[in-house]
Amino acid sequence: MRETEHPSQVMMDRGPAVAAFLSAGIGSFTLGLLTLLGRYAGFAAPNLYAPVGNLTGKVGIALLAWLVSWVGLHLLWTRRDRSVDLGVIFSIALVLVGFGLLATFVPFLLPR
Amino acid sequence: MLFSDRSIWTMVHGIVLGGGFLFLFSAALYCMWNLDGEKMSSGLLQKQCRSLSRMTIAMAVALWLMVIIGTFIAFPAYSANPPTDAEDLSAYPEALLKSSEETRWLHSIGMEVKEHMPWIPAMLMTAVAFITTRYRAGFVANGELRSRLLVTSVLVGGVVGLVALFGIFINKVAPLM
Repeated sequence: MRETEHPSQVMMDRGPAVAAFLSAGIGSFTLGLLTLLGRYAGFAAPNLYAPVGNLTGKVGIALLAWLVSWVGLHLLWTRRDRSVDLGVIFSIALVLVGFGLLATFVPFLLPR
Repeated sequence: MLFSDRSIWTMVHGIVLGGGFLFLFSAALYCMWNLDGEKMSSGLLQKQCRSLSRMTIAMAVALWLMVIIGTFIAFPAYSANPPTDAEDLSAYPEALLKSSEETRWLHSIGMEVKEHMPWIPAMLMTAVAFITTRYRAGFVANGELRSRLLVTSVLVGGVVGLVALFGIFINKVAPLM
């Protein structure tokens, strides 16, 4: 930053921000999908810690998806900043998060 | 002893971390909303953004500690199986909730949601903390990014509030003692 420049005017690359949003969406979607599969399709996630049960497997896979996608997207979009459309990607992330939230809530309101 | 280990962990989970998160949430939202790159001096803006960054990091840490304590400490104690001949189920919250038609939903809906959903705001809050820390004052002039941060923060606060409400209900009926 130049000394005369106001901090809010500094040019910024949006890529890392977009990667952070979208990867959180991917993690949320994964958790929602695994919750749905576990409840309706008999999918048994690995039991990583016996006192908790296969919740640990579902969460473990979702967190892995989140972190791996975050690192990957961050590396990808830090280099290709100009082509990233924040509005579109954020909307996609919001849909993925929305799916994750619904899938971890609505099925428990309904009978199996 | 007045409070058991299980009870203390529940208080750390709900009151210290949950309450701390909600307190920080109000402050961070106010701060985020009021950041104004045109009206604030450079020094003030940088100071405010530094504070915002610290607050969002603390919120993300609080959420991660909440889900970890909730999942690995409170949940096993909550779901412990009572002996087959147990008449008093007060030490077995899940069994206690399931024993009555009136309270069964607190487990089948409330606890199931509490097990799964809070991981989502933890991931989202980490993204918010990362962005406020990486960009500092830079995101203030970018209305698009700033509004996305606000939306995400409000979403996180709403979900945490819902999950906390279930926690309060469950703790009222079947506390971990």
